[in-house]
Amino acid sequence: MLSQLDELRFEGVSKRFDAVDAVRRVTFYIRAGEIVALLGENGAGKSTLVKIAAGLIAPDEGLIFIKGRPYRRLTPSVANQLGIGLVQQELAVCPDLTVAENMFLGTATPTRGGFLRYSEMEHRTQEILDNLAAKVSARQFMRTLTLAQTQLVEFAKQWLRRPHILILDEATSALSSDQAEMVYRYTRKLAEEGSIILLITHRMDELRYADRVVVLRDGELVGELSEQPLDTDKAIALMLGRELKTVFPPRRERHSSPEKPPLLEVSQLRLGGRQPIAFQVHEGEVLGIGGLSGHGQHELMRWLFGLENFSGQIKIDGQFVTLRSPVEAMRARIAYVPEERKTEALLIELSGKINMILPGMLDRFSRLGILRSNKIINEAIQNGIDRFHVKWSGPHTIIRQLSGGNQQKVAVARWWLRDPRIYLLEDPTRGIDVGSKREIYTLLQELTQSGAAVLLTSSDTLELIHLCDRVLVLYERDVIAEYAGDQLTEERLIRAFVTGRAS
Amino acid sequence: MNINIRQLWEERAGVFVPLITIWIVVAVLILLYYGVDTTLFTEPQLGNTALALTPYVFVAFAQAIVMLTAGIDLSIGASISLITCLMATHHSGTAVVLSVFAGIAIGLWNGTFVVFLRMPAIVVTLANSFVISGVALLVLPTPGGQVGNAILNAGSSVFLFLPISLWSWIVILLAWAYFKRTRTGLAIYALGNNPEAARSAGINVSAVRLTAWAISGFFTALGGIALAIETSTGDPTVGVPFTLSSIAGAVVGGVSFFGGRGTLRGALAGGIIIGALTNVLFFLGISQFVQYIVEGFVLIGALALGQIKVGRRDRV
Repeated sequence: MLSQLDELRFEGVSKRFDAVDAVRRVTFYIRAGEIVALLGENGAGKSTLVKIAAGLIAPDEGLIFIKGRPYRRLTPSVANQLGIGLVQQELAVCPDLTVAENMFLGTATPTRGGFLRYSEMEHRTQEILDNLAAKVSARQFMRTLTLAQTQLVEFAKQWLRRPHILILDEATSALSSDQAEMVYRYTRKLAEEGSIILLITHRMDELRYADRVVVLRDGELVGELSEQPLDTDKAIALMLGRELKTVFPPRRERHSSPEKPPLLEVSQLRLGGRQPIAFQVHEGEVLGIGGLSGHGQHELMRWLFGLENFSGQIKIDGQFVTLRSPVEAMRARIAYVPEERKTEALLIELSGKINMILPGMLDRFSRLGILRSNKIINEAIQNGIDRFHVKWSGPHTIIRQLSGGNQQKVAVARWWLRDPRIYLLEDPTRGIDVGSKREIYTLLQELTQSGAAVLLTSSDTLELIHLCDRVLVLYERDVIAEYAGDQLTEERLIRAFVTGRAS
Repeated sequence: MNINIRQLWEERAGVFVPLITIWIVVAVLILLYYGVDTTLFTEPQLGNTALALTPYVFVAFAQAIVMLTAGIDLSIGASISLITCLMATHHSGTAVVLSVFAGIAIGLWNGTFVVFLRMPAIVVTLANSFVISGVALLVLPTPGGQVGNAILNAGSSVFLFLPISLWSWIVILLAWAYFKRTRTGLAIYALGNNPEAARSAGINVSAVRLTAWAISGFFTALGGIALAIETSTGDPTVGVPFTLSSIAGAVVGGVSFFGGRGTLRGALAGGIIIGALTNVLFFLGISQFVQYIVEGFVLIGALALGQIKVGRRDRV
């Protein structure tokens, strides 16, 4: 048996965010020379573990053993000294430096008499990139590269540094399968030289490059698979199989009126995938937009709210409309509650009152640019507060002081005051307690009963199943499947999420 | 190995207007100048013109370097005033050493607040500009004094057919070209571009930033010395317009306000344009007030050009 000195070991690591356990008492190890993949749904705790290993966040409990030494927490500079290399999906590059400059930035830059040796930097960069078949010149400016080329350069950077521990967090998400295979071939070489490799990928077929697969579910380690070829069914079974922790409201029948045109109709939308996207949403319907994070759900929502520019057509009530800005979307009675409620939606240092009137300021709460009387405004706010059961000590409460659940209720209620017909809700229950979740589920149902349509994304697959009438599955910015009724099962959804194929 | 032409053409500047366009403007300005005064390329006219442009070129350099780190320096004008006062009240050798020392010290002083206390550069340098103006008035309460003869002679001397002021531009451009190829030089661009990426690559971001402020202060000192030589006296308020000129020169020269993009070659062109503009307006007898208006519009115009190029991204 190898010495423990050569391991990366997580020992009882836990981390909570707000009221939610992101990871709970996770224990596992990776030996030198081994490639271990983490598998799990959105929100299963993969990225939290990666961030702990890279020193970006500190765990609440537990120890991380590196080279036999226990660490209560790592910092980026300690991680750097220990030779921990991280390739993330969101890349950190300097766009106005050349590829070679980016490759050699900071560490190990070859110099002579204090001057950088550009010929050597460019030569070595070119050699590595050519080996990776990257079709990139070392002299190109970073900003001229495609996303795939940038990912290859980020990997090449690590190859140059030969890290002791290499973490690949969705590092191949933009690559073709040939390019990804090349990356994994070099990853294997690093492992053979004694590196420790931790791998996260959304592509099921890439798990074959790992020696072992560790499965996480709801922040806990639930199993491990080491036989090759990997048993995909078994892996999916491990990812699922949790008890129902939240009570969803009973499903109700939607009375559809087929003679009416769909409330919202999208066609010819080119989000960046292979196929144009088309779908319809009817009054009173909840349409789920499913998929692992980063497959275009966010972009789709933002496009519908006029925040992103993709080519595509939108009809509301059978009439073509253009939604080029949030104001135009709001005038079309669309509401958008983004995923990052604290940074993109609410002004958390300001009062509940200000937050409640902001979206309505456009029309409902102003006349000729002047705010309407306090009486009208306060009455409306009180209405929203009662309707959404927001618990606060009054309209002057600072949003920061509210619990996550109450913040989320404010984020939806303030739109309700404008009486929207289409709600775009991104992960509306993320990071809030079970009680608030239940209330939000009920409210959502009431909104649709009064004729509004909801587009919903969620990191919780069960939510998609229990709240939505239909679910579209996005994979690499294509709609690859649509499920409704009996077809809408957790197993089908997750299989589509990770394989990119309908079943 | 597919570098396309466009890429080569864009270069690292080219933020607002491609560098080539700026040099065309410089060439046109020089031709116009020549049209007004055909003795432009003969001494002493060449030396006088170059010397008159030098303060504008150096303040553009000073501003460009701070801007590369995504900062801004509003105390350049006050520093220029102080340095002319130091130059006019000390003997030649002492005056130069003292001025260079003061310039670097001011750079480090500004930089300390910005780098270590993370205060916004715009406020720090604005406040310090008043401190520096006050010191300048203490050194020399009213315009006057006399810059040493040795310095005046050196400043207007000719070396290898070119006036010494032109040589100073060339030397600094060459030195910068080499500096860019050192770790610190590359790090200045890297941290201006993406401080997180720079930090995660193991760059000591604070030290590099402070170095940039010091270099900037050094260039401000050279600008002040050049102005003192040109006017041969000191004046505690003469530098006031140079803050705007330094920003205009850097921006016209394609240096980005957001850091990490721009070259000293560009700042040289920008400095020449702004300097020439000011001098031409002066010789045409147009009042200082109109000069301010013109220069302000040039700065706004250069920024607007850049924005139009970036496109309509943040619509409400």
